[in-house]
Amino acid sequence: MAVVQSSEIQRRLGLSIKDPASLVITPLLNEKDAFSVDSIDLRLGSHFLLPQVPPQPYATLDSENPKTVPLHVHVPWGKYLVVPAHQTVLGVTLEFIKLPFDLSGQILTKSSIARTFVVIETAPWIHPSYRGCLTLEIANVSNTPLLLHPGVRIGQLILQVISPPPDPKEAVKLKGNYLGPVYPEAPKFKNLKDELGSIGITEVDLPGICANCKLPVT
Amino acid sequence: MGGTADITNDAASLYRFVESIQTFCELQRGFPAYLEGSRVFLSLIEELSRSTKKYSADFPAGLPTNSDDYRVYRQELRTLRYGWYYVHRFVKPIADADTLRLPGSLINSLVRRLRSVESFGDSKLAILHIRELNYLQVIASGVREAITQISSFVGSSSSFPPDLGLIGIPYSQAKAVFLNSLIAHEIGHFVFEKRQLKDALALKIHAILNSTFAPVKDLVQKIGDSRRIPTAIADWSEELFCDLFAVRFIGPCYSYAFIEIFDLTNYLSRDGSLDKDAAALAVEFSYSHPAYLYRIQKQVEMLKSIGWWPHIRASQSTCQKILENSESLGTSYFSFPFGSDLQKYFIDCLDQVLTEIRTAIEESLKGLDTGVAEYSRLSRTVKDYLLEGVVPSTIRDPDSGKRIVPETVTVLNSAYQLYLDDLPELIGRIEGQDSASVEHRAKWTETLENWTLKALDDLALISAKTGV
Repeated sequence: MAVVQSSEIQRRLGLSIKDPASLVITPLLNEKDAFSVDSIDLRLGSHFLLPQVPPQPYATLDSENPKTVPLHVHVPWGKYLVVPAHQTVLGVTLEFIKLPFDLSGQILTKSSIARTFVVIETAPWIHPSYRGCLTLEIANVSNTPLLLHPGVRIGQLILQVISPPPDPKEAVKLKGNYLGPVYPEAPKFKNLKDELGSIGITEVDLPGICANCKLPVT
Repeated sequence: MGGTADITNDAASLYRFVESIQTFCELQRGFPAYLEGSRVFLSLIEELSRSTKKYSADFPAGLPTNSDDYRVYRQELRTLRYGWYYVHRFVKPIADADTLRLPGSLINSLVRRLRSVESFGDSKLAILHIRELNYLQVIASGVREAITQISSFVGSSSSFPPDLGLIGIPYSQAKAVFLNSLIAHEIGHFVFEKRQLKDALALKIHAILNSTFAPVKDLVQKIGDSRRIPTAIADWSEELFCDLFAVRFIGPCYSYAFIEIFDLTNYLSRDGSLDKDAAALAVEFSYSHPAYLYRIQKQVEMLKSIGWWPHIRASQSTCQKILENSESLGTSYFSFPFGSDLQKYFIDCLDQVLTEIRTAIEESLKGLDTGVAEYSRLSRTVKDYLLEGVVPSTIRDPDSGKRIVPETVTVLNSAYQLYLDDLPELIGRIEGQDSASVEHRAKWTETLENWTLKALDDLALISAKTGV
């Protein structure tokens, strides 16, 4: 897989939207400063999801149990969000991205940000033909609260060529559980029993909950 | 002394009342976030709360010893409380309408567009949630008077900003984009009030009324409620001003939203023609509002006169059918609350008033581009972006191939047209989605609105950077 150079990125940004090879990154503010030879800087958007303590004292990878609704927060331009030490928050890129059918992408924490011990992405891979703003799993792993100002450069997008390229006709259908998001997306899980059942695991244990104290009982 | 105790009790009661209002205003200093206009309003009330609390705390100390003055002195508290009763009704609805509970990007875009007009450069809008499925502009004079009165009592220098408008939107439509195009009508009321057009039009309406109804003076006098005619004409004129202002301000998306909120597409027969029996209510003028279909008819005239019509008439949407059908309605079809004998004279009168209204709109929006030219050039491209599932805040110019930024009017109208005409095409392109499914249609309408909001938000950032 070869990393795509900035001249090729620029070329693809200029293609017609109907061309499956076209790339969109919008808005590109301070465009001249946004490009490195092999990456594009991405900025922090203004919407966040703050994790809430779940109603039951654990989380599962299950659509049914238990459901936690994160708190949606909008931080206007010029204002900031405080991420306490050792806390996490879901953010989103300011830029909306459409990847070409033959490129996949990775978003990496900008090195200057990483050196404050903040990680912005733990699932950095972006599939070809993806459309949407990118949800950022921001973790402040430092010992200091961090102020996040929407609009700051926070990540780098690196594009890679898929070799051999897939059939562009396959890119005609838009797909994906997360098509076109413009806000940070909370995780979407399948039914855990169905998910495990599909690979032959039919008995799935989940802790019972005490009706009075809401603590797990075994 | 019993009087002191009473006064202290009353002052404490007012103190607590105002303090409870103040807690809502304090929200604007942290989370959630508010539009600039809402922040200005809540800050003003917060400051006024502080001044009132201080005034209340000091009030018992000023109690006059003379019993004749006691009643007058005590009356101050009562007057102040009435002022706060009036302000009270707006604070929570504005505090409720934070930026997650209204289409902030749309409202900011509309305010930015209004500010580009000379004499509206400092305009701000505070948005409040209302219970009714309706939109309204709060007449600022009432709020201004209440705030001025409170300020004068409590010795505050706060006053209601002259460029602040208060607009109510239904709480259920907080995240909608397309339907909230109706806000443009309320901006029309704001402009109407700010430019004092009621007074300016009143003289003209009076002259038109006199000349139009002169031949039937005797007939008019026989009508029991004929005294209401001038007020009704004035009210109809303001509504028509705001409709036509909205069309001139943001284009046909206003008319589509108007048709949607009043459910006018329900008046269409299966073959797309107007079911005149079903539409009977839509052709009746009330004392306060012109008939829905009359309003639509006049909007169509405006769309034609400013050049929108050729770019929308190909639409196959039910909204477009309503627009077209309204044209075919003869003037005799409309009915008025003052009986049928004067029908022709009301129509003649309104025709003349409309000439004045159109002039007033052009004067109010002097220098503001209609947006038609850009729409005609870029709407196909904007729709192509949306059909590809991409936010159209930067698009490729179909002529030059350069990346360009479309204007608010282009984005809003293109997205609305796509919603009306091409949503099935978008849904059909998405794996596992079916345009015949109500749930899927609702889901992708919401997504389309989110893309539109995101584009408008991006445009604001780009224009702030480039100063455009």
